[in-house]
Amino acid sequence: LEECDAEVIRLQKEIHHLQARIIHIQNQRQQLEHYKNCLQCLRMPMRRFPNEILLRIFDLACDMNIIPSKLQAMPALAISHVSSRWRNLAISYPDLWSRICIITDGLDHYSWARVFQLYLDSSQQSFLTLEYIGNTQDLVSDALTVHGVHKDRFKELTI
Amino acid sequence: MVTLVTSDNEKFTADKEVAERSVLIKNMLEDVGESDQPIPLPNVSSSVLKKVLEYCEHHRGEPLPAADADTTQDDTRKRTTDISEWDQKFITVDQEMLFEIILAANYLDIKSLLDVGCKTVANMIKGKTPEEIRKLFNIVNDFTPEEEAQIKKENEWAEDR
Repeated sequence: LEECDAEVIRLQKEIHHLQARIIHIQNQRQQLEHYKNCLQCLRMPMRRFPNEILLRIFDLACDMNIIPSKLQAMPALAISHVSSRWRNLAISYPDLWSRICIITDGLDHYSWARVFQLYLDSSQQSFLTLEYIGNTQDLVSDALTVHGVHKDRFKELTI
Repeated sequence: MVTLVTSDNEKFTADKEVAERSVLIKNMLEDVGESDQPIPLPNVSSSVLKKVLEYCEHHRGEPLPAADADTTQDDTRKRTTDISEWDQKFITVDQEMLFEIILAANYLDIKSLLDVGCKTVANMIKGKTPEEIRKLFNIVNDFTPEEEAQIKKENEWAEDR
């Protein structure tokens, strides 16, 4: 019996050892896959795009930003959340943030104020194309005053 | 006829009218004058040049966009991402080829082809989340902790409805 117990203990230790080894190998595999992914990314021709090409693509993609909406409908914000390079480029190009559609129906001003302010700040002094969809003209007028939007920045305003 | 030599040393012959849709080649031909000498294109591989010449052949005879077209075009027209049927079919290639065509169009200075490529990529970006864009283009999330914190905040604003 003693011999059996000793053998059980030995086998248990062996199991633990092998389990630890499996975890170690799994981690190694995971790291290697991550490294492989990074290498693949480095090889992507998109990395070789000069900034002018990327900005042209971003400009085409940001024809309108719908606030408040899902991130997918706010392309300037979505682009700025992809990678460091994309973010720096998006921030450096105010025009991307200057085409805004606000859907105010059934919403109070505070539900979209911060994103709107982010867009206004990021658009810097660019001319704005603003479109309001909703029946709250007073709210819109208040919002424009609150956000300090000057009429000389309007390129187009649709209410 | 004009002879073009690609980065992988393959020779292509094309009508002058077709090759000259590239502003780079047009300028090179003007510089060398009447000569049979092949034009080296060290930044373009044979598979990409084949596609580029197919595009130029199809659009031969069409007026070339003015050099300052980007600044003179109406803003709305400039930003439209509509692509003609033939161009759409032409640019339906795998992602790597698409990016190589864009880079080649930029290098060869073929504005209309560059435009088709950029519009295609823009259409791929539209309506996607950052994560979907990263996955689609194999882009690594390399934000610094400070950027991550700011993005988290902006996400909360976007979702705060």
